[in-house]
Amino acid sequence: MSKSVLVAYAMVPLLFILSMVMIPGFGSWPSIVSLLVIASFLGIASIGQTLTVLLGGIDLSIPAIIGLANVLTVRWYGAGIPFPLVVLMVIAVSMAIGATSGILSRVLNAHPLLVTLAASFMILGAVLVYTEGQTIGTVPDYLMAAVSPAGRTGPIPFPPIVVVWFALTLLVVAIEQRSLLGRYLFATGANERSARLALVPVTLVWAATFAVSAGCAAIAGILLAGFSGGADANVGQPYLFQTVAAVVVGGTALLGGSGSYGRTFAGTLLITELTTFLIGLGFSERIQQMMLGLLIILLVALYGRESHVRSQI
Amino acid sequence: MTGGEAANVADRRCLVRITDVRKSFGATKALVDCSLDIAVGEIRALLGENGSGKSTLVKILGGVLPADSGTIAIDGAPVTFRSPRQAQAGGVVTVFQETLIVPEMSVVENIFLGTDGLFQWKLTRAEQRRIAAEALAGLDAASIGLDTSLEALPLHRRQIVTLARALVRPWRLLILDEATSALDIGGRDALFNYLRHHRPEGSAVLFISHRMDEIASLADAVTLLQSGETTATLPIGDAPAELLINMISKSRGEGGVSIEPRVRDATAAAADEPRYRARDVVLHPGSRPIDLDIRPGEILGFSGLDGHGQADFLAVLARVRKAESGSVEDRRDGSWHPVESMRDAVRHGICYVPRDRKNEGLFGGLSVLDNYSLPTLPRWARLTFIDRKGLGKKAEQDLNVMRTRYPGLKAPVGRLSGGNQQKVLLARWLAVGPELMILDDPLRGVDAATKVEVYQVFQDLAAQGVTLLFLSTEIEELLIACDRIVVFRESEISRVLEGESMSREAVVAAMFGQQDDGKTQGAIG
Ligand SMILES: Nc1ncnc2c1ncn2[C@@H]1O[C@H](COP(=O)(O)OP(=O)(O)OP(=O)(O)O)[C@@H](O)[C@H]1O
Ligand SMILES: [Mg+2]
Repeated sequence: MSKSVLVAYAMVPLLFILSMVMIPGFGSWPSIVSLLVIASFLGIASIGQTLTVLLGGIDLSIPAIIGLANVLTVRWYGAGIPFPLVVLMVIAVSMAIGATSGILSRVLNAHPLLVTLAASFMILGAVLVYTEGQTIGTVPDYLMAAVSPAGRTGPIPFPPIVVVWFALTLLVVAIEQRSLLGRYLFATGANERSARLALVPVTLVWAATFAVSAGCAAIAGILLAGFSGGADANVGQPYLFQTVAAVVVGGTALLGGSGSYGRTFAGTLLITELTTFLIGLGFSERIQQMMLGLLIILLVALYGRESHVRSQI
Repeated sequence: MTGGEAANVADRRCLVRITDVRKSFGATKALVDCSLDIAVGEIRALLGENGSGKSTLVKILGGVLPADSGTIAIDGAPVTFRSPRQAQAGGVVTVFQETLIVPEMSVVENIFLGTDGLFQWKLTRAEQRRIAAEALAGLDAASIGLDTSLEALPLHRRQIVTLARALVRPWRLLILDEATSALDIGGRDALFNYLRHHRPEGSAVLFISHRMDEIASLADAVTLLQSGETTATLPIGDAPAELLINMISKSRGEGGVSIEPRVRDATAAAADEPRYRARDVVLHPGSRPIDLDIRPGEILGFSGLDGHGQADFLAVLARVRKAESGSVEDRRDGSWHPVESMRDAVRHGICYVPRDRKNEGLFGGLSVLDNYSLPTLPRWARLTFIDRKGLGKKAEQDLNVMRTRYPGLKAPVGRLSGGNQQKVLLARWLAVGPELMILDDPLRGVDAATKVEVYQVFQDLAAQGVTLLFLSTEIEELLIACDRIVVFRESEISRVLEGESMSREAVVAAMFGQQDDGKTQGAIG
C-alpha cells in the first residue's frame, strides 16, 4: 500500500488533538459520539461515491436518491406498511434506479456525470409529483433512537447508526479486496478496454456499482428520516460536494482504478472533524467551506506528488 | 566513419565507459556489477534474460533513474544525467521499451516533443514537417500522416514514431531498448540499413533485442547481462545464436535448450474435420473475401507486412473487431454455428490475446495476481468471495511454467520487466484453457530461451486438441512453431504455406506479393 493512505489517517488524530486543545469539551464522550453520528451519514453516503469514482465515473444522483429514500420512508411507513418492508422496498427502488443509470452510461456511451445529473432531476421531479409537495407521514421511534447520539447498540456504547457504518466499512473493504465484483471494479476503472478483453462483464459491473451506490444513498436517506423525524426531498443536498470531498481527501484518484473505501473512511472523519472544529470556533458556514477547499488543495498536492506506476516508463 | 566495419572495435576510441554500476529496487538487485565499454563507431548488442537488468541500465544511461553507485564516462569525462533532457544534451538519445507518446498529439508534435532549446536553432513548422517526413520515409513509413493523432495508430506505427523522434535528434549514443520488437521486416530493414550505413560520424549504438537474427545481422559485438552482471563480451563472429542462448540460460542449470522445428503428421492433420472457419470475410471494402478452415490441434501462423490485414483478421475471428462482411463459424455437434460477438466467441471457446500489452492487455497499477486472474476469476469465487489461497497457488504454478520473475503476487505488474509482463499476460490466457487461442504477437519481448519453452507449451496444447493462431513479426519463429503459415497482403490472403513450401524466402515473397512459383494462391477452403 502506498504511503499517502497514511496521510489522511495521520491527520485524523492530529486534528482531533488540536481541536481538544482549542475547544473545551471537544474530547468529551458525548461530543465524540455526536461527531461519529454526523460522520456516519456522510460515510454511508460516500460508499457509493467511492465505488463509482473507482470505476472511473462519479455519481451526482446521490443527493436525489437520499431525498427520494427519505420521502418514501416517511410516506410508506405513515401509510401503515411495516418498517422492515419499507426499508427493503426503498432500497430496491433506489438500486433499480442506480442500475439503470449505470447501464445507460454504458449503452449511450455517455459520461455518468451527465446521466446521473439527468437522473437527479427526474428523481426529484418525480418525488414532487408523487407527494404533491406535501410531506406527511412518520417514522418509527426506534429509527429515531438508532441515530440519536444518546443511543446504544446493546452492549456497544454507540448508537446503531455508527455500528452500521463501521460494519458497512468492513464489508465494503472486503468486497473491494476479496470479491469478484471488487476486482472487476478496479480492472474496469483502470482500463475499460483491457477489462473487456479480459472477459470482465463491463456493463454488468457498471450496473452493479451504481446500484450499490444508490442502495447506500438510500440507507443514508432512511437514517436521515430518523434524524429529522419528517420527510424532506432536499435533505440530501449537502451530500453532493461532501461525498466527492470525502473521496478526494481520502486519496482515491478521480481517474479511477486506484484507491479504496478505507481511504474515504479517513476522509469522512477528517472532513467531519474539520467542520465540527470550525463550528466550535464559531466560524460561519462560508469560512467552513473555504477551509474545506483549502484542505482539499493541500491533500491533492500531497497525493499528486506520488508517482503513478501507470505513468512509468 | 560509418558502421559495417565490424572487426577490430577493440582498438578504437572508447565513446562510453560504464564502470561497476549498481542499482537496487528495495530488495530487488537489478544491477549488481555492470561494466562495459562502447567504442566510437560500434554497434553493441546487449543480451540477457527477462529481468536481467537491461532496461534498468538503459534508464540509468538515459537519465531516467539514478544509479546507486558506479560511474559513466563519455569521451573519458564522467557524467551524471539527472533527466532525459540532460542525457539528450549530452548526446545520449534513448528509445525506451514502453513506447512513450502523447496519444492526443499529432505525429509531428510527438516527434519534436520537448526539443525546444535542444537544437541550435529553433525550427519553423515547415522545417519540422520536412524533417519528420524525411525521418519517417527513412524508416519505410512515409505512409504515416504527419497530422494523424497517435491514438489512431496501431502499436508498430507508434513504435516507428518513437524511433523517428530519436533519429531527428543530434545523437552520439543511440540506445534502442527492444525498439524493433513490433516492426515488420520492411521497417526493420530500413532502420538497420540506416544504422549500418548512414548514421552520424563518431557515433555508436547500444542495441537491445531478444531476436538472435537481429543481433547477428546488426551488431559488431554482443555483451551478456546475467542477473544484473555483465559476464562476457564477444565479437559477433564468435557468437552463434545457440551458443549465446545457452550461455545466458546456463543459470537455469539444465542441459541448455535446443530449438527443434515442429513436426506433425500432415496426412493425419489434413484428415481432421475443420473445427472453426471463416467465410467470406471482407476486411476492407473492395478486397477479396477470405475463407479459412481451422482444424483442431493445429498451430497456424500469421504473417505479412504491418497493416496488411493479418492482425485485423485475427481480431475479426475473435469478434473484437467488425469486418465489412462475412462470418465466423464454430462446428458443434456436426453443424456450423455463427459466432456473433466477443461474448459469444468466449462461449465458443475462443480467446484473444491482443498485441499492445500496455493499453489493451495489462493493468499497470494492479497487482500481478489481478492481472493474471481476471478472466478465470469466477472459477475461484464462492458467493462472490474469492478463494485467494487457491488462486494464489495456481497463479504461482502457472507463472512458474512461464518462468516469470516477479517480486510477489501483490506487486504492481508495471514494476516487472517488459518480458515478464508479457509472461503474466500469456499465463493469464493459458489458464483459461480455450479451444481456440488467438495470439497477436505473443512473444514480443520474451527472451530467447523462454520462447523455446513457450513453443513447447504450444505444442503440448496442440497435442491436446487446442488450436493456436499465432501472429509473429519473426518469420523464423513461425517456421519453427507452426504447421501452416497464412501470409497476408493488402487485406487478402496472399498465400498459405504448408509443409515443404514453408521457408523464409516463400514467406517474404508472399508478403511482397511476388509469385515465386508462378501463381499467387488465393483463398483456401
Ligand atoms: N520501478 C521498479 N520497481 C521495482 N522493481 C523494478 C523496477 N524496475 C525494474 N525492476 C526490477 O528490476 C529487475 C530488472 O528489470 P529490467 O526491466 O531492467 O529487466 P530487463 O532486462 O529489461 O528485462 P526484459 O527483457 O524483460 O525487458 C526486474 O527484476 C524488475 O522486476
Ligand atoms: Mg527491458
